[in-house]
Amino acid sequence: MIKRLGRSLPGFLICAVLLAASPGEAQPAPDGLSGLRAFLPSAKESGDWQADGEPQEFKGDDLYLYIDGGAEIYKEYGFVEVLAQDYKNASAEGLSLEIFRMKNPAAAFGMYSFKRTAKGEPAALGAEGQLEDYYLNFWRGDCLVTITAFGGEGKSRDGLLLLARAVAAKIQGPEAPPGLVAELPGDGLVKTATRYLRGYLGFMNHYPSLGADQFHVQEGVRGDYASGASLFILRYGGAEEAERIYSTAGKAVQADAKAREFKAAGPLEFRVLDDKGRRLTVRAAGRDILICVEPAGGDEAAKLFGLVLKKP
Amino acid sequence: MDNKLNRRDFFKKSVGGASAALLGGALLGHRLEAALAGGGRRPDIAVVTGTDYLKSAMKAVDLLGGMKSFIPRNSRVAILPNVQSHHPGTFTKPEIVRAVVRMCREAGAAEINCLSWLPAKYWSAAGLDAALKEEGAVLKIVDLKDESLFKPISLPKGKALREARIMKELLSHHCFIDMPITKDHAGNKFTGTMKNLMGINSPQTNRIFHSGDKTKPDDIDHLDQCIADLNLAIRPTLCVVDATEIITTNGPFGPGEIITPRKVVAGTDRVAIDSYCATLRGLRGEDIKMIKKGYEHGLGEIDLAKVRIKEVAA
Repeated sequence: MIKRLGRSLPGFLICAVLLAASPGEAQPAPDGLSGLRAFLPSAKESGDWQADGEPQEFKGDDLYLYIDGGAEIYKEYGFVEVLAQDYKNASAEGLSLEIFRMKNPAAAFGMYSFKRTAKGEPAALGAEGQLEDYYLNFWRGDCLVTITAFGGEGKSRDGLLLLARAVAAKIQGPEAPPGLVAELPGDGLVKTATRYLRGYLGFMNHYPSLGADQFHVQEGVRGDYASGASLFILRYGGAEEAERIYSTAGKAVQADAKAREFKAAGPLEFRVLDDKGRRLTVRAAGRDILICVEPAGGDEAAKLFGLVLKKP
Repeated sequence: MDNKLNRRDFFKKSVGGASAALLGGALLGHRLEAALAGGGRRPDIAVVTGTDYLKSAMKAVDLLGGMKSFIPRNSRVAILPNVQSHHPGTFTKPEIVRAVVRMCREAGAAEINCLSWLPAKYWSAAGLDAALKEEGAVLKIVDLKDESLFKPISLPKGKALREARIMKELLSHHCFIDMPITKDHAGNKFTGTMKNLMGINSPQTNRIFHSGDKTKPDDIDHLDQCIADLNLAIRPTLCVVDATEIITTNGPFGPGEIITPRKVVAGTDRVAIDSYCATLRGLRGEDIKMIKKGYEHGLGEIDLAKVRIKEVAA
């Protein structure tokens, strides 16, 4: 009896620490990395899916040992540590559970938004979750959880959800996405495709047109619309910085051999067609740069920009 | 004088300094011989589409003249599949590895070794170690912490990289088959034949492929240049690329969105192959800096209109 109480005490303490953490702060990991182990499903909770080997844990720059060649994007958003545990069922189907602790909830949401796809199906997990073809992601607080199925179509989907629910029940923390996300106009917005950006890599991976190197993204958001348009709001330290970057980017785009029909539409807006025939409209607006990428015949830019600027 | 004798003669010369076979111009001679052996114009790139990936890989190499055109009898062959993770669409399929090892055996290779410094666990999780064993190849894991297992090679024409340290083990082979899966890379947007060669570098060399902040455009430009530079020194005997089921987002590790071109692509022109594979994702070779830099180095042809591409069903 004493032994059982002794075992359950650390779990109890962990929950107390997590509940006491103030919103927006990274939650402390008791005993270093072992804090993430508290989020693993118990053998009972994981049902037919039993742990396959020991969990792997990586912290800081050791992420490169785990994600050789692909760690940079996690670092850009703000990575702290990861725990990975494989599972198998009796039919030898496999699942991999990864729990990432990011620097703060914005970083967790950002990486979540980077990994999801527009075709994903919303899933009631954590603050927000999405089920994709063979994997799912959800986030809450400073944690991002990814569960991937390996082969076998039978029970994998059920397994993904079973493990996800068990983990989600243990993770507490803030659930609101970064404020910039709410500045995207809601009408026609494809909610499963919203991306939150914290630097060049995230931007470059989700920006399909000219001048990707030139916008020096610090914080931004991309929203896709039912009309086919994509709207980017890029936020800078102030209006002066935004205008300077706008000016440099405009010159670079104008000089790009892939650009066609470059037109200045006022001192702080230009329009151009890119090499794929898409219309790019860029406007400096206070501390923001607004970008609309849409099919050549599209005319959403003015409307979307107007809606962004109307917001308080 | 038959072709076999010519090939054996060619390899007698190059085996004396095995590194010359991989690093020198001798392979170009071998390529020329292979191209002429069929008496006609063989394709530069063979592309086979189908759901039986083993069959597709075999057919792709057959369209290039068969493995015997590339692998002389009694040679030691090194192969380099990609296995950065076991997420779907991120590693070279075991069926394609099986096909290549089997073809090498049938061509009379004395030894086929799969070289890597990645942990054995990666190979077992992806089902690749079983495929290698069953087909008679050996998985040789090089201890990445032991720098003495890597040999410096000079890159006098490198623009960003003047020296690389590559696995010594590779240099003891006569032939080298580059076997990437083509897929997304969140940094430079593309993985293919040229980038896969980072798998034979020492971790020390891979570290200098980054100039500073790995999330900045300058660093990615530097990485792309280093990859192109490395490719100046190492010319694979043959490339067999998995373009069957591949991730197009969140690469190279995944998980991410998957497309299923169900193609196996084979050839020797890395720039042309990578340019072709880029088109499977709606890109062009010119869109990928690494491919452009490879073209600028004269490693191959970026304009697919100038490349003989043979596409067939399996």
